[in-house]
Amino acid sequence: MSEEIKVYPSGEQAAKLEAFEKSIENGSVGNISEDEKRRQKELEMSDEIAREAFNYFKDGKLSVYQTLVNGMSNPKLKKLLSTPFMSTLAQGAATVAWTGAAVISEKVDATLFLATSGLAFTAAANTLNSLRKTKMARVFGYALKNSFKDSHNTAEKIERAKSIADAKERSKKINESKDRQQAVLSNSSEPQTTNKEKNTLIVERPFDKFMEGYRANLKQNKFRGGK
Amino acid sequence: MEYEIEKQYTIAEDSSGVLYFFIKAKKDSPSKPQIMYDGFEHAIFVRSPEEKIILDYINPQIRDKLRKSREVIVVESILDNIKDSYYTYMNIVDKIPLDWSQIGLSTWEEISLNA
Repeated sequence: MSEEIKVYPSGEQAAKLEAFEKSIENGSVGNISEDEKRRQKELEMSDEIAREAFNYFKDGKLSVYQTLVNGMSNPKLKKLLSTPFMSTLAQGAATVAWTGAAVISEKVDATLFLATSGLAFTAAANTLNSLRKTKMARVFGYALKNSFKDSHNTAEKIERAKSIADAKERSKKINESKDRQQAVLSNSSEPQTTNKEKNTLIVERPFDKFMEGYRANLKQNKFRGGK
Repeated sequence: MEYEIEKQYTIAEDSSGVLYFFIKAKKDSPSKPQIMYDGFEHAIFVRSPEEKIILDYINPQIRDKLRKSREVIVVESILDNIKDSYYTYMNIVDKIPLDWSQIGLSTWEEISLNA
């Protein structure tokens, strides 16, 4: 049950919050003007160009780096520099250096610089991730753990709420059926078996009725023979 | 008639499709609770004959499913603690005969545009 729980925040606050989130995402809410659409398209395209440029240079730099490492004579240093950590670090550093140099020489515009720096940052974050015990990794880990805890809490709450509601429903049904039985008993045409005033049990039987009639007839001498 | 507006609540759906309304805990116990809904913006939760709560701005993503539900579970909670939880009958109507604007309510979209 804990899997696949969907949550739909509702109410005025939720509607406002969603609008706020949208406005952050889009920069505007509702109808986007043609100018805005064009601007967004241009941004997307420049992002794509930046990504392609980055990949091109990244591959180039990496192969240069590997050639350099392979050509080293010291086996210990060669082994150290061949680890994924060192190669990612070198890649990130080289990207930052390249973008910095490119900006200084005015070869790329600011958007391209920002996009490429973002990718360089991702490479640096990957490096940090490989160092599991860094402070940043701990912070990310904490956030992840908390988000897991939140979803786990919702699932747990749902499970608890369902079991309470089910138990209530069961007891309600039992009570209803008892009420029905009671109603049937009180409405039935069968003779009452209890006498509340005397608090004694009276059971009427056909034989008793017969004897009662017989005794009455006997008093009236109906069964006496002769004249 | 006095109406209370819930303003902040959550609708959740479990893996078997049962819907849950997480609302703030209320006084006393509910009596013959039911939710009146027409598939649009707001619903009326009749907690007892004397207590009516407006479930305002229902999330658009769940409206259709809610309209097709026969019953839901209402969960009243205080922070993380569940005070009460019970099945509630869904009374689906064509149109709730209320002018929402008179009690200051509009639509989810309108709120989004004006935020």
